[in-house]
Amino acid sequence: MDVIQQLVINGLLTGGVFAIIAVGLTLIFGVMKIINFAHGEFLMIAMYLTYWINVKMGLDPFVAILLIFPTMFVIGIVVYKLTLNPIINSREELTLLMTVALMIFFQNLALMLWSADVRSISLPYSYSTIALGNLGLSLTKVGTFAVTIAMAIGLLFFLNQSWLGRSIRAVSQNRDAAQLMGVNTIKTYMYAFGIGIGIVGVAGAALSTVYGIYPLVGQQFGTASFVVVVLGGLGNIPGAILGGLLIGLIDAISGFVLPVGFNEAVYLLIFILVLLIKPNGILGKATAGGGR
Amino acid sequence: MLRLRGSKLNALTLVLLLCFAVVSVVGCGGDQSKTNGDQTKTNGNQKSTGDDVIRIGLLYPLTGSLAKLGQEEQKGALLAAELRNAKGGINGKKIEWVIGDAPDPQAAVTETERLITVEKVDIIQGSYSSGVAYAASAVAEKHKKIYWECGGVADNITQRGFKYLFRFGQTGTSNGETAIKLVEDIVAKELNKDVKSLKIGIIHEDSAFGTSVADGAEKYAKAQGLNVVIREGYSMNTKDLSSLILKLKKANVDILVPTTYVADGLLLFKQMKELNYNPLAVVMGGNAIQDFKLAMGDEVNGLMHADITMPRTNYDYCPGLEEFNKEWMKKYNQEPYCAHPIRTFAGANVLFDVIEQAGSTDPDKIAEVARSLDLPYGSTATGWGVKFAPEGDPMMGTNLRAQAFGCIWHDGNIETLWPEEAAWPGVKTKLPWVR
Amino acid sequence: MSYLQDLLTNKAKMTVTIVVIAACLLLVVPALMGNQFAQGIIILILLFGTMTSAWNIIGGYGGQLSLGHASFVGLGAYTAVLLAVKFGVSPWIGMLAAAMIAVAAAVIIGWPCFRLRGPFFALATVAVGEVLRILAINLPGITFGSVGVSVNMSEFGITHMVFREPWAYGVLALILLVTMLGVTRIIERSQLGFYLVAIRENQDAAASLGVNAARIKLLAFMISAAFTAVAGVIYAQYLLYIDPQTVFASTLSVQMVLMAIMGGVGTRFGPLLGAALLVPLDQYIRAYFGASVHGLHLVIYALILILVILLIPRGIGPTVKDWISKYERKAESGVTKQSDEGAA
Repeated sequence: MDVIQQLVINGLLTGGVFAIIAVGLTLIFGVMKIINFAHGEFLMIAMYLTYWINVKMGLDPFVAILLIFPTMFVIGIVVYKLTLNPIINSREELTLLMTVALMIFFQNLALMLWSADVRSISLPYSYSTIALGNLGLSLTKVGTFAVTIAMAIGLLFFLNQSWLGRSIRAVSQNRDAAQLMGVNTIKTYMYAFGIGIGIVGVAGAALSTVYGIYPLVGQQFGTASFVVVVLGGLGNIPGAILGGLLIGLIDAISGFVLPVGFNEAVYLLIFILVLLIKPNGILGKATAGGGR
Repeated sequence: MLRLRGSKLNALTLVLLLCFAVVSVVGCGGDQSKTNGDQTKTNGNQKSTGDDVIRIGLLYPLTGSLAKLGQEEQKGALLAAELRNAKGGINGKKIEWVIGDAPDPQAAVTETERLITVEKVDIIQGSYSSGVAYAASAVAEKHKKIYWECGGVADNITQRGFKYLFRFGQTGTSNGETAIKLVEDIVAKELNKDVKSLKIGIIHEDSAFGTSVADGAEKYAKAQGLNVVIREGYSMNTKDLSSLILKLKKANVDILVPTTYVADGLLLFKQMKELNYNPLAVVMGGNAIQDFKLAMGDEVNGLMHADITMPRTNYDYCPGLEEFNKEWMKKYNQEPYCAHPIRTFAGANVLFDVIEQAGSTDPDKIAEVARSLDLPYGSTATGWGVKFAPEGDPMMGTNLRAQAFGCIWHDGNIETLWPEEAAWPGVKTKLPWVR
Repeated sequence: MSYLQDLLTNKAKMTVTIVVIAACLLLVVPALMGNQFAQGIIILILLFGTMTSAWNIIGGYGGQLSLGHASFVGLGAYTAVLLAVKFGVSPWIGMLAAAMIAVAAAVIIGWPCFRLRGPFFALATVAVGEVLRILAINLPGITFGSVGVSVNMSEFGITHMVFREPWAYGVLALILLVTMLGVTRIIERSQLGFYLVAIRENQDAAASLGVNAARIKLLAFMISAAFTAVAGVIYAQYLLYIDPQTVFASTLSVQMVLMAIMGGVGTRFGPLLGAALLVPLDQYIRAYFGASVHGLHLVIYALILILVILLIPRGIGPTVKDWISKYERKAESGVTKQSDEGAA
């Protein structure tokens, strides 16, 4: 029994990791329908920034979030303006291609600047666990989880209450109608992307307490993040969190029941199955076949 | 024809910005440890005259997921050439490496073709990655050029009967066997237990490296009648090893034999601690790296590895190792990150000796001299000997006198403890390994 | 006006033709002179050109963004090599088997997945590609696992599809490529082609006009898969070694798409053009910059990609065609003027 409980807890905590990355991705993917291959790389950049902030300024990563969010927001906007904005109205393959190029660019820029060394941020609580009866919960993962929830709440509040937030929702529902209502779609896209990257930045800051940092660290989360986003429904923030938790659970349980190497294959297959039954994701809207 | 407007203006701005960035980065060189003033390496575009220079190809993964250890290995070779050149080179000629970057087998094929057909080298040293070694050596063999493998450990690299392929380094099987030997000869004895009563768990990252070491370990353990209760591979990109650790816990594994790369190794130890899984001993199948100490601090003491010869190995047993350590410290101002450059260093030196003896880089002469070598253990900086399996042997080209040594973290340093002749004076075990 | 006359008077067409011929010469001449590195590049161009042209059938003409096409490369390569290594089957028969297995896989994958649209379909294909890669690693009993499997090199010659001289592989790849392009042309002008484009532009409208979208997409997918798999077999025989990471890699899938988009997706020669540009680009940048600061050559490669996307978003092929027709139109209006002034 103990083992199952520990498995579930582990699964949920790992799910929190997936969720925190997926929230930013679902915003970008959901609003702009861009498959952002470089998503993991922005995560990586944020992790490195957090590392340098920790080393040079002695700031705790969770505190550094306050610096990371605006920095990554600006980086997101700059990258968007320079590379994605010009082609946003072209075919979707083009934006995909651009994000692939960005991915290669950032991975190797990091390699050039910071070498292939794996860096870790060592904190006094890096190994601490919170005891829950007989079980141990990794403190850093719990912290990440807490950040995910806080971020999601903040984001939902923003999307519902602020003008920009509502513009973003409007544009993601029906771009032309939104434009007719006076929404500047170009600016909205830009801000949505910036916010999405800012959120990924927050994810990076939190995750730098859990994982080692190296140029290809973004690749670790690649496919899984997209699976989570689609599962939860494009643009659906609670869905991203639920999707993350679900994938985390599947990952943990299948890893225990089957040889652990098949983990990823299991949740990928489940992902495909879900898509076939509910093409818009578990919490997605019921428009036919995913819509175009 | 190009009117600058909109996206084109953006593109131009981007170009200028990035050119500036790239130039300044290249100018400053980032914070990588630089091999300053390294005249021994070239990207091969300067075609030096053949008379006063000996050009040898050097092929390693310098980018991609294996970049870290690939670069470390390359550094060993660079150092070897520097030192040899300072002593006059080979028969009075300076050694010059012609560099290639092969992050994966496909790049390995094209880079090897380039080194051989465009840069016209007769010998290529490489490759750290088993996949790269496999693919590149096939190309070299086709061209009848020497492939001097110092790093790739997958057994099947030298199971193809290649005439021009020589593997100086140990095989993955050796890593696995040494790990189990450490369990038998040291762990069981220190713990005062019958080794057959101990439950052994073998886990590994699932690329060619981890798989070949785990295969070697499992096979040898079973042949010795030991109790292997778990054997599982995981992806090195895994985000979570907790399920695997819970499995190990549930099966009451006493001795853990993990074979990992860097990030997954760090994750493993972190999660073992979080989940309170404390086996009696951990004997890793390779990749003993400084990062483990940085991450675990004093708790790392007692962790064991079966790996390449460490910097702290008996200097009498490893001629040249002391010089390597001194020169490395001078050049990089820190201890080696891992033992890999030592292997490349020793291998390069053997290659230089072979070239010297052969009097040229002609592949047939080199092959002849190499196959005639008969040096006992204790002859090279890794403490290994040199005797390549002869023609007709199924493992033709393998160095029969190379094996993984056993080492342990002691007082914050990795020290060799097995075999006895190679042990670092004063080394002590710490069992059970309690964190 | 004969084609040659037209060519000589049309300056734009002339320039383009000269550039293309020059580029070909730059590669082909060293290859013909025995530079095996250049030969290797040409072989890769031909093989990737085939793979990306095959992708183009379903991805370009059909508009279905398959991001897991490496699945077919891997299935093809492993089928042929495993049959040869385990059962001594000739690679030629292995090639046939590879095509059949790929077609079967295309049906199994396509039939459920084509119900998904746009990014959902794309992600499903990514998932499939990854699953296959993981299975290849974790079923060593069948596939030899991560250590990979090497092609039997003990005998050379055409029956074994293992050649000492690269140009032989080149001939094989060329035949395959020409076949692929021919099939593309046939599809382009056939009912299948029209239906595909209709589906791409607006699937619902096409369906409402009686087009059986599911069947058409599946058919295109099957053709695409078959050719990709056969290219995969030749690729394996050329590399002489395959492992899960090389032939099932997601980077391979992405590269196929990249080349098609660069060269002009949905056109007949676009993908080949993309391959002809990207493969040498990658190789030469690596050769020149690979030894200095680690990673620099890929940064440069990525920058060039970004630039090309920004400056030539429709792909190089269609853009060049545009230039030519723009020039032609200018020339026409110019000719009227000139004849007025009585110039020669």
